[in-house]
Amino acid sequence: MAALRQETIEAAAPDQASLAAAVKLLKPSLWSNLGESSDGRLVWGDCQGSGANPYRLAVDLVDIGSKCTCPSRKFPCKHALALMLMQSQGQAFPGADVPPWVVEWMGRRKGGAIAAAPADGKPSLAAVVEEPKAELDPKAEARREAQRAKREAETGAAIRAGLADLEGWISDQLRSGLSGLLANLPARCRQVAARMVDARMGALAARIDELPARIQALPAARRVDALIAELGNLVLMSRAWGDGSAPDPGLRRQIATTEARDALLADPSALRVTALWSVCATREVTRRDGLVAQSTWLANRSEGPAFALLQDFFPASAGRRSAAFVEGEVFGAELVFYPSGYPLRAQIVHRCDAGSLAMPPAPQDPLEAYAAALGREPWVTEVPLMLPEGRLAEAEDGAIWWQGSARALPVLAADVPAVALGLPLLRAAMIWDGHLGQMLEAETPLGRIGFHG
Amino acid sequence: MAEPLIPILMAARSRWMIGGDGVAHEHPLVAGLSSAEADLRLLAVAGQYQRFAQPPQPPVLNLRQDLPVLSLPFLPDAMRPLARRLLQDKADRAPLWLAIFAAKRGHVLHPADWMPPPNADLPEVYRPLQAWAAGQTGPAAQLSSETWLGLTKTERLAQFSALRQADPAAALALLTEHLAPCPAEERLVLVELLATGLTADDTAFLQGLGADRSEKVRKAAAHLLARLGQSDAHPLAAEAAAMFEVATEGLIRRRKVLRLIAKAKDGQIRSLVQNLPEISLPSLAEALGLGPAEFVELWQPDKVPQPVQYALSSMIARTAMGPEVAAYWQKLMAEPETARVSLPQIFPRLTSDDQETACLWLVAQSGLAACSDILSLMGAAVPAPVSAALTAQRKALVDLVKLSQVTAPEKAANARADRDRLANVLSTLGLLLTASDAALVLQSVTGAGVHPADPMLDRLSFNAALKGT
Repeated sequence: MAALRQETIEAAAPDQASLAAAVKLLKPSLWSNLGESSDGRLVWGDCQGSGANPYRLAVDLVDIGSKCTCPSRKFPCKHALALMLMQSQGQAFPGADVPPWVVEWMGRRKGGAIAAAPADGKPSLAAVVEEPKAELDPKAEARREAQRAKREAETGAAIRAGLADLEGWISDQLRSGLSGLLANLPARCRQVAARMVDARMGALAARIDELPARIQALPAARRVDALIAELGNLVLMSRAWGDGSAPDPGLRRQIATTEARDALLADPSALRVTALWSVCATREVTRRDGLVAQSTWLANRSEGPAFALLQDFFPASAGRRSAAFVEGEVFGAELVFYPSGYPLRAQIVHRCDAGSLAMPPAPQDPLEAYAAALGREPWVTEVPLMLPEGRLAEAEDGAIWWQGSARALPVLAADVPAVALGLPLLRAAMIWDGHLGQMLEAETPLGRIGFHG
Repeated sequence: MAEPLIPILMAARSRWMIGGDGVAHEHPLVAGLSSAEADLRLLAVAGQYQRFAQPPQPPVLNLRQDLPVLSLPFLPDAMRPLARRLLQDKADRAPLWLAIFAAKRGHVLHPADWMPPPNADLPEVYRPLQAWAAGQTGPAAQLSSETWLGLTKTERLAQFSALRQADPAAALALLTEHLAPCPAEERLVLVELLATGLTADDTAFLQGLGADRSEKVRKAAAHLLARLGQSDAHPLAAEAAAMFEVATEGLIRRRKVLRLIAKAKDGQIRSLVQNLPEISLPSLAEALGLGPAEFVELWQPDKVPQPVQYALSSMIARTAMGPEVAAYWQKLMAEPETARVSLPQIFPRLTSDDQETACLWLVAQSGLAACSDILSLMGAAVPAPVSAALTAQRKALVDLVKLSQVTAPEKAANARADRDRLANVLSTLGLLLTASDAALVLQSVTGAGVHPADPMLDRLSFNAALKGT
């Protein structure tokens, strides 16, 4: 397929701003997994955008149709325009089999995409110029800084008040009895979660809002202890916050907000790990607050933290996104971890060649890693564990347990495909919350098995 | 000595369940604090203790047996992503067709991609996996007089079917011993399985079933006896025979023909259609003073109301001997519409050569539209001549591709319908053709503009890539 003409790309661009944004994405370090179909009609690739999971996009060069997993409502988005620009500028796209997600997209297409007419004026690449850096105005800077400090002070006060309110609420529940709380858990949690939102603690509110679902997934006999554990965590978080003057970054993320990607990348103290990562599982969960949490669990085949979690949130109203990774794929990359006593959540800095390594041996007692995580961050909800050789077994009540030589742990039965019950699991990965495990993947004599529910 | 903490936590847990004010303790963690503050501290410690020090204790656990080893290899790893994508199509037994197709090419689907349903009608190679999925422990015992009652019904019927194919006499001996106590529904299936390898040796046993408690079993036995040429002199045969007449036709070369009586009334036709399923070819022919072969030879299928022809085809398929069925089919082919309607009934009674000829005839008659009929008649992976005949229809396929690509807005609805039809045909061809023919078809349609990555080519791509062992 001949290179696209710039005029074609300009005509396809929805506006001048998209074109300008696309030009900024032409850095090779932002792109990975580039490919081209044998007939040259399709090109595709992954673009590291502002999310933790890279955006996955493909362009049909015949009719300039495109598909991107980014949340932009513009069509084509800046990532697709950037991919077109790369093709037009002679960027080498390795020939490859068309990946399944592109095939699925092809199947859903109704025909040629029609480029949206630009709203005002015709976008032009020639008009894309570097934005001049604004001169710093010391007075304006000082005003902004004062406003920021004021906002922070207000937020700090609101959080302190909110946490005191939360402790009071927990004391009330203990005095009136947890059996009553359990019987009416969703409604009561929703009420207190709303109060936490008012107190500018969005992350904590979401955690409390999700609490009923986590508790009700357990057998009735284990719900009380799980509830005590979670209420105890909330008390710990509140006490660890104290007056909020020097909150632990991990705790701030659990209570209020998460650092922006740019701030994380600019943080020299953040843990950076270059390693070979294998994709254990991808999960998309719609939360009660209307956000979809897209999570990619990575296992580290090299030195450093055993797992990493790439996590993005987007509104459910934006529609489903296809997963950014294929489960089981292995890639080399430098990851930067969000500062935390227990580093887990991360962002990809860039892809790189990290050689080929086998998985390191799993500890005989998988709960050692759990204990270590609790020791560093006692309020952590979910901890990924690497399980040594074991087997899934059934209890009389239909519950399913992972059984190793040193320990047995209950797992979410709905996630377990029948085939996994008939094979030794040479190694497996699981998310453990102290009460119930969610299997992610397992290596078996018949190859890798994914657990998808 | 300080008060131990664990009993304090246990007591607090019990109190928190039902509610109430806190209790003062001497433990340093909570000594001297207000009851609310002490409870919050105890709660935080209890949570950590419970999460870390008290992991759930397992009950008695049962391990399933290991998955059985199947006699065919799994699909090559490189083909599993494509297989998984095809397995997402749950429509129209699509996963079963894929499993059957793969087995004919010498592979089984990976159980991590697809676990065969326990009761699905699948090739023998999947049976151990189906038994495992059904919760059976260990391989089933070999069917014998001693194990007859110990096997599950599904296993018993499957093994009996295999035994009848391999050793008809041994199967008959088992049935003679064990049929009577079986429930009527199972008796019927077992008797129908005698159709395989039916010989005169079965006559006495089948005649004995004339006194069976179930009418359905008695009827099935009578139909099998008819296939051995035995008339049961059914009382309805005479009434049905009255609707037929043997006449002579032709001015110069006078020849005998068998046809429906002229001026048959609608009520008589309806009555005949109701009666034909009850009677057999030998008894109807006998009532007309003809032999079964003579009946078929003289029968004139033209100008016969379709319901009558359909009922007659059904009767012949059930009760005629093999050569008579073949002769009947030869005669029907002169009447394509009638033949096409009757073929599903006749097809299972044809020899494999005649089945292949019938499929070629279908392709000649209907072109690509024959695909789905051939799949339902012959199953996946048809013989090479049938595959070649279908592949020779590539020009029609290319025409269909072009129709599906029409972009004029006023023809959009037609183009969508053509695309659906194209997708259906390509998908069916993917289950029928040989690997080399599948590659040829892929070449034609991609040459005509279908993108190689278009999902409607998935089955053909799967076929072309799975060369077989």
